[in-house]
Amino acid sequence: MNKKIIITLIIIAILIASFFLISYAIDKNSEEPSKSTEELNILYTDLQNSQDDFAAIDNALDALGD
Amino acid sequence: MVKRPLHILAVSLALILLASTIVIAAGSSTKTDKELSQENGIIEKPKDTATSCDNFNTRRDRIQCRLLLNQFNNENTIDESCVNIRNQVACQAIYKESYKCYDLPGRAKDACLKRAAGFEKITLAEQSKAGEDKQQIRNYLVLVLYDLQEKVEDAQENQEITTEDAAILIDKIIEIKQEVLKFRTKGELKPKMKTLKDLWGTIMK
Repeated sequence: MNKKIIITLIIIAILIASFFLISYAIDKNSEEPSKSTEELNILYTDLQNSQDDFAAIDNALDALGD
Repeated sequence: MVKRPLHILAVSLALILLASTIVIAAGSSTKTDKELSQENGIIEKPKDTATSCDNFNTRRDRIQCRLLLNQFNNENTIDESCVNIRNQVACQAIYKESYKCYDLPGRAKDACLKRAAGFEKITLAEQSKAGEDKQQIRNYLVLVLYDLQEKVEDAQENQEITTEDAAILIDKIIEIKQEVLKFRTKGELKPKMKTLKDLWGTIMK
């Protein structure tokens, strides 16, 4: 009888621990952007001066569509 | 003989479970005051209200007043473009998210602004396909326009342009930002940008 209770408790403990571990892993994964390498960084616009800003604004307006 | 240790083990397991649940619950609910106030829609009001530029009737006068009092760099001041906007709290939250971006170099700034605007993708083309209402692109437009505004403020601070000229440019930038946030179309926004570029060429040189 006691053994059964303990086994049940252990199973419940494992299930709860797994639930929290999985939630933690999902949270952690969503926090860290996967596209942060230098290679992907090139895709970003180089906003150095006002001309770059104006160009970025024009591109963004085009991306808005009609 | 065996019963007692088993009881102890069971109770210990239950206690460990309870303790870990409490720790995890406490950890996940720990948020800063800033996060909490953003979630509750509370925007901090300017602490220094001795001289309030909000009392001026026209936007350009309010801008000029803020330039003179150097109030544009105050994170607690509600941006003019968020005034009379349907969701003022969300509008101001975008600015608050982006303040840290403006001191970054070129590409890092762009990446930071896109994150603050809520981009899920890197490029405008990808994001354009991803978001149905294109709100993120509108947010990004507002934030890049704010980068231009920062350049005007810097020029005025360095006395490269007059306060009046700076107010004229910032007034135009804010007008466009408001139009963007009011869901104006590309066709409506393009002529306004042309006017801003012409003004920019005349004043900033």
